[in-house]
Amino acid sequence: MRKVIPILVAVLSGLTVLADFFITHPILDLVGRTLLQWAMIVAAFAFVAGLLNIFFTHTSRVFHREKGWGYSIVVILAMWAVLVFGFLEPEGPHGYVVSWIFRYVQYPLQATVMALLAFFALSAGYRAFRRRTLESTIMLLTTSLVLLGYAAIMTDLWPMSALKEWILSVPAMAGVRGILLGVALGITATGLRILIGMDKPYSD
Amino acid sequence: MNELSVAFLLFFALFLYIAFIEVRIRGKPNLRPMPALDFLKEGLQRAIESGRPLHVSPGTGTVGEKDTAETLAGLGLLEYAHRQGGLYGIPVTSTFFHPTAMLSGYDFKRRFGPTGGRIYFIAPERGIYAAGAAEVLKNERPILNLALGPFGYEFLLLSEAAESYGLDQVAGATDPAVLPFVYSSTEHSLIGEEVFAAKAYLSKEPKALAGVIAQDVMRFILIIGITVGVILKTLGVI
Amino acid sequence: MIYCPNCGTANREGSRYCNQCGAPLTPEEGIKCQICGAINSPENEKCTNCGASLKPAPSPEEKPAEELPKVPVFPEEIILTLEEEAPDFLADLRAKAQEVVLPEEERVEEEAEEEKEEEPIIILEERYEEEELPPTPAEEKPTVTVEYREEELPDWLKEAKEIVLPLEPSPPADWLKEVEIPWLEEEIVEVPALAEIPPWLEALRPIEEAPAAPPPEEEAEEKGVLQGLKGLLKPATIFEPPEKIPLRREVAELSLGSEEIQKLVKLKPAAPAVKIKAPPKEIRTHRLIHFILFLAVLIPMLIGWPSMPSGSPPTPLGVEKFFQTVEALPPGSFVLVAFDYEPYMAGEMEAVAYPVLAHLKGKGCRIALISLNPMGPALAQALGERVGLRYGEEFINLGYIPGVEAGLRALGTSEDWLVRYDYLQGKPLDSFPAFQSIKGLKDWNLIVLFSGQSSTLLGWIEQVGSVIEVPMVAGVISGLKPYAEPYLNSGQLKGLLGGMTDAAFYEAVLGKPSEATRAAPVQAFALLIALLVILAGSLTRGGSHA
Repeated sequence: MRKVIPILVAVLSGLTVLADFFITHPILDLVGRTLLQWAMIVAAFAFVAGLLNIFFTHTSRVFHREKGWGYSIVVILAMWAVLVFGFLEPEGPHGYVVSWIFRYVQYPLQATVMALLAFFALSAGYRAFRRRTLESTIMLLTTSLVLLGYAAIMTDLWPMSALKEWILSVPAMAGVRGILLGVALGITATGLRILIGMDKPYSD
Repeated sequence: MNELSVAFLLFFALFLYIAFIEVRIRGKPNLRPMPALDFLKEGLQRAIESGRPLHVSPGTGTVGEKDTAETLAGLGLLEYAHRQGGLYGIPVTSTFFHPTAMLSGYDFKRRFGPTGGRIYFIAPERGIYAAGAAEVLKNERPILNLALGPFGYEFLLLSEAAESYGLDQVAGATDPAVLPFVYSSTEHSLIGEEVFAAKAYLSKEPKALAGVIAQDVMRFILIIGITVGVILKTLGVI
Repeated sequence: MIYCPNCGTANREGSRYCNQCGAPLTPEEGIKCQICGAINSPENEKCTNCGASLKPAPSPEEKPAEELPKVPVFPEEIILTLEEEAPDFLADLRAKAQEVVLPEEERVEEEAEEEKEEEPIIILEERYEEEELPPTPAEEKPTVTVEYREEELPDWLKEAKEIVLPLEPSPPADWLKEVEIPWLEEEIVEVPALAEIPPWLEALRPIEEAPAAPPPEEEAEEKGVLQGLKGLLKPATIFEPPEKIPLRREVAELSLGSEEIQKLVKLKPAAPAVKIKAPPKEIRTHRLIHFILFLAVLIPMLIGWPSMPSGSPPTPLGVEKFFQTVEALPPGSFVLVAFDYEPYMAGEMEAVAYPVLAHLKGKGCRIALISLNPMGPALAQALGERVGLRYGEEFINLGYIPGVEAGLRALGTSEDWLVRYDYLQGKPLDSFPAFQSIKGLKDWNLIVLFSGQSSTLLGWIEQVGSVIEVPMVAGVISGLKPYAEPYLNSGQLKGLLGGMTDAAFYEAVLGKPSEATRAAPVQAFALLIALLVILAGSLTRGGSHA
């Protein structure tokens, strides 16, 4: 019974939401919407668990003087600062301090971190295209033509962009759709396994 | 269109069940070799001998939204790592993007015993997650970096950081926009639906194997359907 | 519960007789167990219920003073000494301190009889007299006597004598000498005559070394603590250079025998054919690549070259359609703008969104900003203020819709407009005069999507675009453009801007050059440099991929 009840709850909830997607009925819509709202509330509470994890993990690192413990102090202080001001200010997370932290600290830092992607993409490509394999050679040729097409649109060589468009629209899209079909089947299989109770990502 | 979708789902579910029974009766089917997962097993052996931890990242997805299935695939790999870690004393460090996935990490730790590795919840922001996970790699210096699940462009940050620290990697993603980065930055990669087959390949559980078999059969059916449709459309029948 | 003293059955409190056997439960003369409370008859020594001893523990006055056990003093005697008043379970292990002497056969038996329960298991005999150094092992034969309690001794061992372990093996018994053991008898074996050794084998006979001279007799130490000892090393002299040790012994010293072998040994190894050059110092290639790319972006930004081409490249179709769709809006139209990208994509997405918002402002539209991303409202607010839109009149911020797919589904299927409150101040929508007439999704004239992920883009198109007739246009990052183009071709999207390049074209069509016009040519130049770096890397030697 201890194992059956969680499976039953999961299966019934999943089937209800799935049925709500296909069938239009006021009661089914209400139940489906309610279940989705409950899922969002549970996910919101999971953030509390995440917060506790951050606090205890980094506190432990500081106490044990592990490598990088100075950064853990910064993490803990930043976490408490945003939490405290978020609660104290009348506008809550939309208040002046939290907005200021987001606009002048978090946003520039995130944008900068992701700007590094261009450099890492280049070094990854440099490493990959030095491999002497058929796949790498084909990838190198395709990348060269597409990059030339992207760059050419800003020069007088814009007819090159037509080749780029064709490469992206036809062979690349064909490969992408094949991969997406496979991924969609994998997603469907995973979801169905949970819906029919064959697999459970949770424990007893 | 809805009726067709429902029929497809029902047929898929039925075939899933049939495949499960087949696996239980006839035994495990032969799976095609996946070099990335063979390398993963070698990495486990090296981890046992060296005592260095594994790092597992189940992707930048959530449990409960659109990328739940890919996240579950990554969590399946984490479960396998925890199981091996509990058996052979391999520390398993894991970094999480979303707390809903982090809860599964604690669940595995409870089921298979503490391995000595840590569970890190970084942040539900992709760029921040990648930077935080890179820092964890730098501090923990695992012997193998396993990154499997729904990744975005931030994957490149994580994999390049691992590469700069000289760590071996096994990575897999499902988003076609990210797959070129996965292929180019790691030598051992899983592409697309191979991510979903990883759990079946490693754990050899009948349920997971049934999913792989059902996927293969449905793929053949779809290929036949697309081919027939293209031919009929070309001939002007439809 | 009361336990029957006769059969042990548990009976209810207050019972007088046992339910099982009928015995009285409260004997007149009974001993109550201190452990379980069961009443036992006076003859019992142990409780019938729990087995505890019924004898009362001695009171502190009756208990004699504890005697400290005798501490064994090595090497005079090693004995086990225990208190006489030890608890019952130690009775078997109790041993009396006694002088142990060289045991004799009779003495062992007498002692075994006298001390039935107070015998040690093992007694080590006293070997040494008091205040004497232990003699050398050669002088005394080690002797071990093992005594057992008499009842434990088997019959054949009761007459056991002292076992003496001699150091030297005993000679074989007389009876053994008469036994014929075939393999021990000497056999006369005829040894065949030595065969003739062939000359070539004779040549390989090793040269016999002269017997080594006996080592000189070492002198014993004459003084100091090591007096009388031989074979000691001489103290090394400080700063004395070590003896020259030859690295390779001369061939003549090796006793290898024949001339042929000596010739082989004397052969010198051939000189290597190719001189191995030391590898060059490792260059941090990826750091160089990053620096090249950094310069490829920085220098054009500083000098302002390259710029948009002087010729007129054709405007991409998606850009053209996007422009026409916005241009066709009447003044005062309601436009819902979704900011579904995260801060890390803001660099490119703001370059795409800025000219569109500027165009909408120029058309006099009333803009509502919304997001499926928790960070989206803050990004939207910042951009709206940067474009110069007046809050409450030209734009409002409707905040964040949780749930992505579920939230969009609720938004699309609801008859009423669900988001009724402002993000910044929490005021109801009706309190803004410019937006009071929004009652449902169909009241919007255009939906503009700025999306950095395929999930949000497809979510809007599938969950909202499929249920309402409101036109939809999208601005996406350049990597997402191939995924969005099929929707442009099918008509589900009325316009598409893919990345900074398309944004630059949009600004060119709009006639208001801005950051996209500045950045797009630099981006193209950097892409060219990246291509050259990749081609250069592919031409150099690389590893093979398993």
